[in-house]
Amino acid sequence: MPSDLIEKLRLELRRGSLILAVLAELDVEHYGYTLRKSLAELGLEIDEGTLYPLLRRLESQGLLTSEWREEDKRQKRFYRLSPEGGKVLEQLLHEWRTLNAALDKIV
Amino acid sequence: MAGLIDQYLLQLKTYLPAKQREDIAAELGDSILSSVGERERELGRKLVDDELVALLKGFGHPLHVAGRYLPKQYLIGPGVFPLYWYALQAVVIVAAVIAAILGAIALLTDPRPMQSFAGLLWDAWWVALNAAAVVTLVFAVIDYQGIRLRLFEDYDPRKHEGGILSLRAAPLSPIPRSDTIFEIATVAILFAWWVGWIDFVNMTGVGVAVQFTEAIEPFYWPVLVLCVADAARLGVDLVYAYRTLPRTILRLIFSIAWLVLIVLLFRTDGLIEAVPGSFPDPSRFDAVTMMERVFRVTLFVLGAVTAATIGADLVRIVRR
Repeated sequence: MPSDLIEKLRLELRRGSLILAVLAELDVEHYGYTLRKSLAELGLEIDEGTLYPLLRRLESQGLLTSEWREEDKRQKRFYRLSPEGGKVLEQLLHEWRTLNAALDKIV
Repeated sequence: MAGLIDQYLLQLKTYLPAKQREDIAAELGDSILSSVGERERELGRKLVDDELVALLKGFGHPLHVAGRYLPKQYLIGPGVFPLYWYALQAVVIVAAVIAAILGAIALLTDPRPMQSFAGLLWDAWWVALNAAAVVTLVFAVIDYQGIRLRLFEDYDPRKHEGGILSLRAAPLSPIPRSDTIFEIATVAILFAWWVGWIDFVNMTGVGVAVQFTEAIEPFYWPVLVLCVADAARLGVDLVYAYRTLPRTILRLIFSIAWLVLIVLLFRTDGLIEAVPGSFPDPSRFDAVTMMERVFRVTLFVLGAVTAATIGADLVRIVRR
């Protein structure tokens, strides 16, 4: 099996899961850097090139809110789950658990 | 150190959309500085230039990073791409088949065959390239404008049942698209020759110009109309590449019409004459007779092929 194919399939598998993880983690306010660190500590590595555009996309979809604030003498953009994002997260989690349970039976 | 980061962010900004430029650069700049700070804490010292360069490389080329913030764009999306790809192939194949047939004619008849063949290849390449560009443009517009294609929208498996002359009557058998493309190319060449786009007078190969006599006139419009109508019918076959009873009957009618014309042409005497003043050497006058014979042999072959097609279609209709 060619490694680039495995990498492609791995990315496809991760894509949806990353959205779920980011939404869930932003139940608590984070700025990009701390969010990435926090996800990495929980075992989910995500590079900046993926995370920041994803945050913007989720914000433009109304699932996140953001604001610029100063911290450690630097301006940082803080993200948090919006009320709409909370509802979406709930539905996605339900879907995720259903899928997970089905997959557990299949594999 | 800050110089390198500023330079990186400046390059990034040049690739970003104006509205988001400052915002994205500021956020990414903070992320870079956070990473630098963390790395420096790990090392217990300031980063040297090479280490900073490695860190920035880890973030990616500014063009690549900026690309991730842009909306995903494509010229022709997955919705119409299969049809586009098929149309593109068909156009290129038709151009190639026409070039191949004209090339064969050039090789056989032109006094300077290689030169003529090379010129033809060059023309065929340009025709194919331009046709491909037009097809791409048309499909890009279809995709960009979100134009709904009836081909996809109206699809209903139940409609494969019957209907006089319906395109969607029950399929009898598939039609190989290569056959259809070959037929389209043949009709296109016949059409081009018939209307004079291909110069018949210079095709004797012995330096004597010949032309059709007035005896051809009664056939002019029937052949022209049949060419156009048959090309339209073949175009349908290209899109809906399966035989149906109504379409097989339609092809039978066309084949019979062609056969009638071929037989009438075959029975007509004196179809070809020398162009006045083009044969100073009387010994070459036989070229007219030779071309008449070639024309008759061609008609005979065409007639035989058409008769075979009629027979095959009759068998299909009887066996359906």
